[in-house]
Amino acid sequence: MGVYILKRLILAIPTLIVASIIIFLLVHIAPGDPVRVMLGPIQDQVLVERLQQKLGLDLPLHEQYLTWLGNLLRGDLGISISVQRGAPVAELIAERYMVTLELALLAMTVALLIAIPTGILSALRQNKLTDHISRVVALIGISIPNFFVGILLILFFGVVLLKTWGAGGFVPIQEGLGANLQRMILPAIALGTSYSAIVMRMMRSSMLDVMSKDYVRTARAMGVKRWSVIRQDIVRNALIPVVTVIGNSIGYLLGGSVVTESVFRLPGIGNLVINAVYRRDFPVIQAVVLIIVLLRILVNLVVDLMYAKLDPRIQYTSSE
Amino acid sequence: MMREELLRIENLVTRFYTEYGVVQAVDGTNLYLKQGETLGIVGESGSGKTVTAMSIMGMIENPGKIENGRILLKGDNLLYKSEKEMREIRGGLIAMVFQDSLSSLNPTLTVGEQIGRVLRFHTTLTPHVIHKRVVELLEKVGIPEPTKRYGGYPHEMSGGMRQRVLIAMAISCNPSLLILDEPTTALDVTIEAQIFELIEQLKKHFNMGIILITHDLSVVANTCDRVAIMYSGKLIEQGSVSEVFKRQLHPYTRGLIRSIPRIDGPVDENLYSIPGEVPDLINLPGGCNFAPRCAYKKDLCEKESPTLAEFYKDHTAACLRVKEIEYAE
Ligand SMILES: Nc1ncnc2c1ncn2[C@@H]1O[C@H](COP(=O)(O)OP(=O)(O)OP(=O)(O)O)[C@@H](O)[C@H]1O
Ligand SMILES: [Mg+2]
Repeated sequence: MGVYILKRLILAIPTLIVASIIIFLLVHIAPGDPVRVMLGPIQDQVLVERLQQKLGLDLPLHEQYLTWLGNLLRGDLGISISVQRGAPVAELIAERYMVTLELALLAMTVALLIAIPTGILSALRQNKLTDHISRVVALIGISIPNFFVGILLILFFGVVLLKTWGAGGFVPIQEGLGANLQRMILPAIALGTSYSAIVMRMMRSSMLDVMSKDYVRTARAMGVKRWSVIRQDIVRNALIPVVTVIGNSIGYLLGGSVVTESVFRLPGIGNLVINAVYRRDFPVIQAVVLIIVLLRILVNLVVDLMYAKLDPRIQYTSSE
Repeated sequence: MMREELLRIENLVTRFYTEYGVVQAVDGTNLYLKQGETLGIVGESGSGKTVTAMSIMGMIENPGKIENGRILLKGDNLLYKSEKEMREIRGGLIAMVFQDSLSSLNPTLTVGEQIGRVLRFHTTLTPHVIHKRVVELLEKVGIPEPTKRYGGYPHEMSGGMRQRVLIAMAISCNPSLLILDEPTTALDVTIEAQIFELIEQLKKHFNMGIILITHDLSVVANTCDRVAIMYSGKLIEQGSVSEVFKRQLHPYTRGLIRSIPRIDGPVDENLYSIPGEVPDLINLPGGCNFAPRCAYKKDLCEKESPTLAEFYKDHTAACLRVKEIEYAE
């Protein structure tokens, strides 16, 4: 197991290097010059060149890349050039990631709390009223855009019931968990709704698939109690494919959710990326995207490990 | 020694209400089984063998329905039992090993847990005793290194071993009736022989009644006391194995026995097979279901549906022309 993890991590290095080259090229080849954005209306050629020189933007691309990579390896993500000029990128990202990470985890928790029980119930009551209702609700959940759910939530809860809940903005956990959660719960629901619908549908179909399996029939033929058949035979096996969907969703959420963040005025990573792109803040864009790639790789690894935990047929040996 | 009657099925009718029409899966079956006896149920694919077994187990599900008949286990009608009572009977008094044994074990539970939980639901034994029992059971069905295998998963075992695990699970609570639905179809010939040897051994040891479903008559000849032949949902002949093999009363049984490959036959012998096809169970024409394929058919056969009648002691058949056919040869 340990060897397997180590091997996967080593294998992640070439992936990250290739990713870093692609990100770097995309950022630098795309039209738009950070210096010109910084200077705004003052487009003095001498000033532009001086600044470019200062930021190292006048060097050949490969040299710029190698400098960036070298700094990265030393743990230096660089300095923001326009989003928050002079601020270390690492600090900027760390601060924003706190928000995104919390939002992602809360949204996923909300999603799972709704999706897994309804998926199970829906499958067990296939084609009965409960099933029809949950499927229709899931369809609505998938079809309605997150921002719309967000706005509805703000209108219903924020304006009518509890003003602080829908006030938007972010309160760090250090300043009180209660205050923090008050601001985070609505965005988490808004963001979690669509994932909840996706996971619920997956859980339902996976359950139905397992319910027709021979081993479920065998368990019943041996007089195993209904609840035990549901838990040990059906749900346990049905969860295996659902874990992949959950993993992918978490990976996706860790990329930040621009729309939800802006509806609720949350200073998350999605928000940061958009800003950085508008202002051509090269170091920030590069670092954020690279970190998102890294997180995805890690999430994938965790999903694979969980997969092996759930399904004894899968065994990770160092040869794989 | 007089053997007590274990199971009696009277006039069982099981239908499936599918969107294409009503499937007459089991149509008026009568059969019985004594304690310690093995009954073979033989028939082509789709003749209703599994549905008969599932009816006994009380596991016919929507869109299926048992519409008529009685299923008496030691005189007690199972069709009157509640689902809860049936759950206690399943795995307790009656156990069944299904077709497709390779996929009949839960891939995410250890072999030991799967057998153990059957004991847990049917007995009041402590976990410690259950563990010991399971290991003994694994040993009894011939699984090497039972202590080690206890914690193993199904995918780590061969097909033959998995079938042994299923048998261990089925006999774990000393059932009076064991139903084996084509227990060896997925296995190769040597393993098949070992499994039948094991079944024989267990039968003696536990004095169970066994229903062995198969479409292989040579298996029946070797392992069963009595045999029941099914054709398109109907039981068409029943009797002791020696009787039925000596004088086959129904033309279908004749065809079946003629189609058994013989070890002493010539190597290039073309195997006999009954001409024609199994009828569609949704649109049965009426009359004898076998008539369209029968070499002895008369006009009457297409109009009147034959019922089981006893022609010799403990030897019944459902054919209008038994007497004439018998004397014709
Ligand atoms: N759940 C079901 N829904 C509809 N029809 C069914 C169902 N189960 C069985 N049948 C039908 O009942 C008939 C008898 O099926 P059964 O499984 O008993 O055959 P069998 O004799 O066991 O055949 P095999 O040797 O292939 O196992 C078939 O025509 C089958 O299509
Ligand atoms: Mg069958």
